[in-house]
Amino acid sequence: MFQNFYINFRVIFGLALAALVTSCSSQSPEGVKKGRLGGSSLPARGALNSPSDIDKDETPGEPGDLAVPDLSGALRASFKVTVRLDGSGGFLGLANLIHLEACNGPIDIAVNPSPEVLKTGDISKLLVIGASQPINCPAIQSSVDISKLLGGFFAAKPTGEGLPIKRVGDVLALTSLLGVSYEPARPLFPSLLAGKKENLTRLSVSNPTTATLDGKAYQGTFGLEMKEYDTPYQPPGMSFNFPKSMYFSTTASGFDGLDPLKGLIFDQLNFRLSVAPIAITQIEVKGRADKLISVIASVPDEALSGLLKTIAPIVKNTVNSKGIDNQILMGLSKDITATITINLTNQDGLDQVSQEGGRGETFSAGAAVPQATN
Amino acid sequence: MFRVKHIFMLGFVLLSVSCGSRLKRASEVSSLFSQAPKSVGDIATDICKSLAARPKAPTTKSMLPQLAGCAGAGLTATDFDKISAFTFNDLPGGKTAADQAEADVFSKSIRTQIWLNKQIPQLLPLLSDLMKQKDQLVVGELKLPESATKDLENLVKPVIKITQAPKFDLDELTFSVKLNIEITGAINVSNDILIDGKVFSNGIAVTISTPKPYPSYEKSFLQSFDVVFLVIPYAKDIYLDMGVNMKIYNIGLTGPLDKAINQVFGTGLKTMVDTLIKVGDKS
Repeated sequence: MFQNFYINFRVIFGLALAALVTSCSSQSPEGVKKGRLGGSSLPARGALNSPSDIDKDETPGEPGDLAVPDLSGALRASFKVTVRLDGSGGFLGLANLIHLEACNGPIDIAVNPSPEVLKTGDISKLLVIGASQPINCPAIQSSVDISKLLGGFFAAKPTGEGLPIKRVGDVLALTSLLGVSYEPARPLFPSLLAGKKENLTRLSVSNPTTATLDGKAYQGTFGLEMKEYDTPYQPPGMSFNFPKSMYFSTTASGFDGLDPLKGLIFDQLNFRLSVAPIAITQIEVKGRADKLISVIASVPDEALSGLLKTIAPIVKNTVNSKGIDNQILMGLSKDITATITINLTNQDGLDQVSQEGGRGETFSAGAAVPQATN
Repeated sequence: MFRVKHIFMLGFVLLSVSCGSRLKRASEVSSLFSQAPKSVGDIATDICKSLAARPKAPTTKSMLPQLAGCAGAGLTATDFDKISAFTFNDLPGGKTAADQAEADVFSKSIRTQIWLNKQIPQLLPLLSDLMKQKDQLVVGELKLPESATKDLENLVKPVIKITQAPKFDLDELTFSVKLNIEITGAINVSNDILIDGKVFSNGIAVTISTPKPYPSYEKSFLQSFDVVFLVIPYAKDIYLDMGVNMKIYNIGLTGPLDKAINQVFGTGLKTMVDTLIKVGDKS
């Protein structure tokens, strides 16, 4: 019931990076400059300065005009993935007893937010996951091999039309992904460079949305809220202190019946990131296990072991079954919240970057940075 | 054939669906709590206080104070993976065998503490397997597995019956089942057994007791017994605590019995838990 998060991990990560880099997508090319590099000569280690005054009208993304520096291969980072389970209620209250870290393990990822990738919309090329690194999960009697799991599941075929992202006010929003279209566009990311600091600081949107997949409509609500802005952040276990980071949360509710693999429906998807230097320092995914059952059921047998192998066939038969065994297992999965936390542990080049808060000011138009030319 | 195993499995899973290693350091569990973590002893004490205060089953109202109090939980716990038998120690405060040599009824109180070296999700396959066999848990005789009776078939003949099928109260978060055990042969045992459990927010407690009226000496070698069984998820492990007080009609064997009971309980319980875990692993 947990691999679903890994299945979608690359999508989430790719979107995060894409959105982070394309925060400037509505700007004219000269609106984005490689800013003060904080001691580094590499673009990826530096910062993106922002323009001061940007049209806030809804602006569809035009990938052909993306003013994106070529950072391909420049962001090489290591992360620690932690899976945590917390239950509440359940049959006889048994889920109340489930509070544990199921497993954790490292993963290396190279990010390639090159203009070409952004133009083609081939998100799968944004990330290169390191050699197979199974994460041992004794609590669920499984080892999770992210490379294997991702192998057959991430199928974001390049559209040739660029990333389906557009800016709506201070938010970058998805119009479609993995065959699902969103009306209005689904809030994904703050528009970091286009938004004004005072707006981004109190950013909070909640949009009733219709998601359409294969002609069928699903109703729900997407939200995005800025929790922290311009705050220093030191990832657990790292000595590097990111002087100005932000923490925001995207939420999804409803959309019952929508394939979570395609819809990427999570209760919460939280990002903590830094723009100067560019880094995703933490991603946190929270979701109810039972909402993601169809994903488990579609995981190939060879990628499963232990408990998951036991549960998968039960889950597949659950829809039409009223058996107590399924009820209990389903009850437990419904009452268990899985939290996947992906923490940055190392990123190439950080040792050359200043950690002084006054440098690399980049987040918003309101920041004290040189004005971009218009 | 497997109904005894299944009823044990049911009890065990309901008891054990949680998490814990030996004496846990605060640093090992700090992530689990927003405030300073309670020790496993504190949790056990809380649960036992709740049990003692309950007017209805499961309750320890009528049990020995040293059994109901659960004092010293975790202090002598050993790792399940490192033992060949559970170690049952005498509960403090009880009379010795010599003190009771002339008494009509020999009273014995013992206790074991174990870290199961498992976490809750690891027991879910066992739960799944168990629930598939739920239809067998009905009123009637339980067929004992051959492995449990083979060595004893020339000495005793045990018969266990379910006299009340398992009941679950989803509001109270309690469960109960009633059994009757009859053993004939070298010794006679005839007792009704009440098994009651409750899921608390931080653990599961099960009481096993023999209701009054107690059987006479002619009918049963064993007059009565009380068991308090705790299952507490703690620090990525599961803590098990089992205290037993039994009253045995004195047939002049208090000395040998006194020594043998701890060993019999220790070996028997270990075998049972090993079997259940293997069943779960195969699921």
